[in-house]
Amino acid sequence: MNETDDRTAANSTVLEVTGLGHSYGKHTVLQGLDFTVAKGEFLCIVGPSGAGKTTLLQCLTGLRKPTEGLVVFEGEAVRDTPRGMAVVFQDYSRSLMPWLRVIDNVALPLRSAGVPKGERLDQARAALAEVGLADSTHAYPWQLSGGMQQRVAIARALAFRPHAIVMDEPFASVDAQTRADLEDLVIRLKERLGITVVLVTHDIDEAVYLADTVLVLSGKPASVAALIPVDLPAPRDQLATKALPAFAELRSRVYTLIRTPAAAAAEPPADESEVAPVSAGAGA
Amino acid sequence: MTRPEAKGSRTRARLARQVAAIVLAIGVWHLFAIGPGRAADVPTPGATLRTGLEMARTADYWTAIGNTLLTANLGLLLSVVVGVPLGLFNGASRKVALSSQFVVDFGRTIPGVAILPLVLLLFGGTRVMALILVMFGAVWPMLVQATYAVQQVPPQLRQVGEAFHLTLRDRIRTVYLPSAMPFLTTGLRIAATISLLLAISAEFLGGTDGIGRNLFNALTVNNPDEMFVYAFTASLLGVALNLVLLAAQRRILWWHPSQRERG
Repeated sequence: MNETDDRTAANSTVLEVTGLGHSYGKHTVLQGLDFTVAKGEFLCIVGPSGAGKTTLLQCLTGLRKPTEGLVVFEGEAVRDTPRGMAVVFQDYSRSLMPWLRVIDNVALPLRSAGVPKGERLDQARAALAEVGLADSTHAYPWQLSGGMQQRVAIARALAFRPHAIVMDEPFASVDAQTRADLEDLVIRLKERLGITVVLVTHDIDEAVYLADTVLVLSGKPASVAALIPVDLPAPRDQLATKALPAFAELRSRVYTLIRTPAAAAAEPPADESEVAPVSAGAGA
Repeated sequence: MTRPEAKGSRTRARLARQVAAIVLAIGVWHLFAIGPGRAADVPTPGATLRTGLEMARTADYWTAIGNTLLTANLGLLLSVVVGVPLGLFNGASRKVALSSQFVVDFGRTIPGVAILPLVLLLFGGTRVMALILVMFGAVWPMLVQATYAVQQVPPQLRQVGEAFHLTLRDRIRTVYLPSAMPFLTTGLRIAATISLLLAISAEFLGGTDGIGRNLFNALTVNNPDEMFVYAFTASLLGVALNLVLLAAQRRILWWHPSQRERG
């Protein structure tokens, strides 16, 4: 109920995407994407490999300039990565500096932001404690396991004290158990810190498990096939939540949409609630 | 607790094999010297060692080594100073890199010794001549590796720099420079070997002061013992230079996967 209240009461939009499209030369990857993300919402963007998920994410974060349309974050058009937004990249082993200790990796953006040394180390330590790495501050990233390295990357994003975190398939290269732990970590952090999360994944189960709203990306060029509100009870639980009939229903709905977007769009699923502050984009 | 011991004994076994290989090589040399090499006055290992110890007591020997090292290292330094900025510039732009590719590929394939007559004609048997020759050979690996260094900065790290708004200073210090280091140290090691080789060539063929010229002098007065000593000196210098640079590389690249496993 808490979630529903948040979403209906605070109709404050954090991220607004209008008519977004991107082409690499003549090859159009994304076309006509419209959606919004509300404050404190967990949006999962799910789509098959090669659907343009990473391109979309780069457009959202300002790392790539879309060839069409507009991305607005907290009321301002995104040109480069907005200050209130932090990014967690897919490949942790290549997004952390192997020549910097864990704590210095986390504190680096703060140094560039001009935060004094003592303060930024405190902030970095706090962020590392938040992800359960209080004991590994002085290790080098390559001395840690894959899951721990991704935690470092998450801590680096948190230390930045963002209002929104954008994650590109953050758990794609860790084992199943670690992945489950990291998923729960991200849910917990989002609840505790009240941040907005946009997470890209190709894993339908993961998307349904994590999200308040699942955005299904489908077609070529890719567009929003559907925005599906996920009304699974909180707190989510790896066993209980995934055993719910509603979970199975949602995942088969997403699955169908990814496989046959045209058919699914022909009979749009009845929107049983008003919860999603979104409008389905131009489907096929 | 058994692991370090096992590792130690393995290191010792390897060392023993290496020593055995050296002993074997010296043995073959000795047999050759007293056998078929005798007609050509090939000195035995013992005679070479005796001559070497005698020469090591002369100032001339050490001055020659000093001169050779000065030429080689000064030339190396100049190659770094010229090659690295050029390479960085070259790598920073795809257009520049593509345009210059032919010139670079052409230049680096010309053997240094091939331009020796030209520089000799222009500058005579001077150190300037030797330095230009050294630079001509050693600047290419520095340039090429510096070009790679810029081109190979992991795109994800670039994006991290962008997404987290790292200042230019922090980007250079914590992203570009460290990721360029593996390439630059590789370039330096290749360039160092070439520098020594060309410095000695300039001395031998161009008459600049150094062990190359002393080697040539020993040849003209037909003193094979001294020739052998200078030849060994040259190779020992090469080995020493490589060891120094390897140690430096290990210190600079302690974080790199190639260095980590060696602990």
